[in-house]
Amino acid sequence: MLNTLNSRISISCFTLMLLMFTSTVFAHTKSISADPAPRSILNRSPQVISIIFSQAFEPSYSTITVKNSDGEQVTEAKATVDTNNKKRLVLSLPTLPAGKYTVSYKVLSLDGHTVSSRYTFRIKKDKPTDN
Amino acid sequence: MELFAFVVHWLYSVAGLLIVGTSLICLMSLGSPPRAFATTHYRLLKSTLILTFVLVISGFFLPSLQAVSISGTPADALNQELLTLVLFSTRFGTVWAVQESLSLLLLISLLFHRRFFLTFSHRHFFVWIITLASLTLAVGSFKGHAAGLEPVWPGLLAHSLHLIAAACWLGALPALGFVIYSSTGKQKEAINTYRLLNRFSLLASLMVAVILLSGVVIGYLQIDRWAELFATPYGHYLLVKVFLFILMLCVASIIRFRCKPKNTRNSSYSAVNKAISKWIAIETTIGLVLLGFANVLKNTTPASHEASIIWPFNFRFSLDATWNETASVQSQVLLGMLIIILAMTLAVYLFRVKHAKKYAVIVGTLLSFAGIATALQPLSVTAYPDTYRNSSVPYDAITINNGRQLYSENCAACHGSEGKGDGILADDLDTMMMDLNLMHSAESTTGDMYWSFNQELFKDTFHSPIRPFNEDETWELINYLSAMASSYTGRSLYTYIDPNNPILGAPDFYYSTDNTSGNLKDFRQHKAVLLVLFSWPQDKPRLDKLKQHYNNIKANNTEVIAVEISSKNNDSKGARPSYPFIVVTEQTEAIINTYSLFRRSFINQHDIDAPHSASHIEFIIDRFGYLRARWIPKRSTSTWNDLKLLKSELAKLANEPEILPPPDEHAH
Repeated sequence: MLNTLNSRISISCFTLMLLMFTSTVFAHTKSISADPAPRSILNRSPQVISIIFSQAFEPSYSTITVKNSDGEQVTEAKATVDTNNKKRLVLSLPTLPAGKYTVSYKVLSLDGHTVSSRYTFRIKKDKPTDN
Repeated sequence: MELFAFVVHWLYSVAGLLIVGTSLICLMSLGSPPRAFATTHYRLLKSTLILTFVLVISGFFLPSLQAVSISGTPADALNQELLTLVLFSTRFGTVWAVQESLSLLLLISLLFHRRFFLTFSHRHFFVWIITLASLTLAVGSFKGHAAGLEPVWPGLLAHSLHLIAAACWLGALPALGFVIYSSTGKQKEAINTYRLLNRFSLLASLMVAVILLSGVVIGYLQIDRWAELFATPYGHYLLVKVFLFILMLCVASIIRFRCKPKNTRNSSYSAVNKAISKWIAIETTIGLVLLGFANVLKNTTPASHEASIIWPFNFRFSLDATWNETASVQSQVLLGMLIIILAMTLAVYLFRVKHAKKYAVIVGTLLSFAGIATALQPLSVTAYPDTYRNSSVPYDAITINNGRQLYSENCAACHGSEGKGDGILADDLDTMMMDLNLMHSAESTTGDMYWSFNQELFKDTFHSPIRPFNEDETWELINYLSAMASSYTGRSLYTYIDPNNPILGAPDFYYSTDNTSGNLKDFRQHKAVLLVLFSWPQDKPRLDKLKQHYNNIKANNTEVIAVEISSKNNDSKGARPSYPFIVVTEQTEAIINTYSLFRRSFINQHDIDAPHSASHIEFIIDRFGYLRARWIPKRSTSTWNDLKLLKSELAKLANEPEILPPPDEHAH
């Protein structure tokens, strides 16, 4: 009897292990605002790329890269988190010539999931920034 | 690698839940001497020890799996640099270290349980084990999906309680079944199953309540739209999970109300316990299937992130679209609710007074369904597979302006530049052009429009665009039509703010000046915005006046953004004075074209169709993102030139609480 019971319990436990994985899963962070905005046309080179996310994220594994229309990365600088706003990721840029640029970002949410996307903006005139 | 990750993760989770549940059953079944600690207890303790080994060992793999999850490359499982980053520079690493320390402490406690028993009582020992295992589960919430929620504490608390309650109920079922079944054997155990069942029944009821409450909180915080429950794979799994949960409750009720009362102290309860253990096995099996779906959910794209939402029904329920349509809608809903109340009353009467349980269930169920059907039927409107589809572009000035271009090229000739069906070709057509301003109502979503364009309009020769639209372009056109429809509603905007009545979401826009750049949305939750569309140099006196009173405006928690309407008179730009507020003079086309739509008023003048006909408009946008007031100097009798009036309106907003959540970034 006990053997039968043990085997039943074992089967139950095994099945439980096979099937069970408790966790609810929902929203990761997502970008809610970007500067320059997606598809925007600028008259001058932006000084920074700034992206604000819906939630705080891991600073250590969050990046922004900017490439020109030839696919070349325009800066090797690393994106940093705004000390005043932990949801804002900022990348400093050198003065960019006129052209189309692709911004790619990848952030690691606090829930451990990565979120990445890309967008483009255009600089219409070759006008230096005012510092 | 994915399979390995899956196995490790579920081993970790399963072990945690079972340790709590099994220890709880040990604690609850501890009786008074002489044989307080029975053979069954030792078996359960042994299985807890094995489970703790599983917990610790599977836990050691988690950082590597996290590294792989981040990089997407299996080879990074042993990447020292990445592992260092994961362990020492992320929240995951911190939480993992705490969890693993707790697990090791748990393991040490179980390995040296005999020494514990010498010093402390069995009861204290199991309380200690349950506390440690529960903490291990709860701490995991800090690196789970609840960690990123805002506000953070309700999410973390609900998630932790959800897990612990599931562990106390579901995690305890195998051990409970084992104990109950053991009591039916020839070899009598010292465990008092009558008392154990009573205690567990009470605890399980409490845990079910906690699971329900915490589940509602988690759902409220994490599900964007309830329609996603029916329209995404994630939602389907979740619904199945809820259905199985209800099924489990039914089985639990059978044990609680049918079997348990037969299990009295004096009766020979072997047969009863066999029946109870059989039902527990069924309940456990359903629970296992339920947890299987929970496992699948873990690896399914979250509903709110699902790009393609396919609505499975040809109808949907909408209070907005139906409630005020006719009086019969409200009366039919009321009738349905009365039938439901009648059903419940009748069921209780049959159950309690007449003791006709079967009839109570049958009559109650049938009448309830009839009531629900009666109440819901008038609330239904037509729906399509794309009804809840998410837009691929945001609802902002850039996409609205792009949509405007597409509309001008493809639609305006017949539908007219304002969408009234009065285009130059409209008179030559046999069919009557519909007023597009009325197209977007509560009865139709932007998803309905997307479906209609792709499945119907774009396929007929009359409506097909000059060149095929891609998805973004279709949504841009929809954004423009939505803005147009909003501007139709916005005819009621006036110089006075209607307090506590935000209706129109202000389209977001991007601005860039020599000194600053940003989005309108950046001011949300912080400041209201006075948006001034001006012409230069005609409006110089107005800008000077705003400059003069800027401090007063700022004192009302308001920022000024002045945007120049394109002018041929560009020569005067060099001579402009500086202003303390944001003045946008370049790349203003998208903002101007979008907000010019909102110049429409009930005093419909002929210049409405002329582009940039208004040379000066001002809008007040509240700090929650809603258009609240408008001043068109040419048309208004009251004027914001009277700064007192303007400031009093701004003061109203400064003190106004949040009425509606900020308008969504996509059109609806």
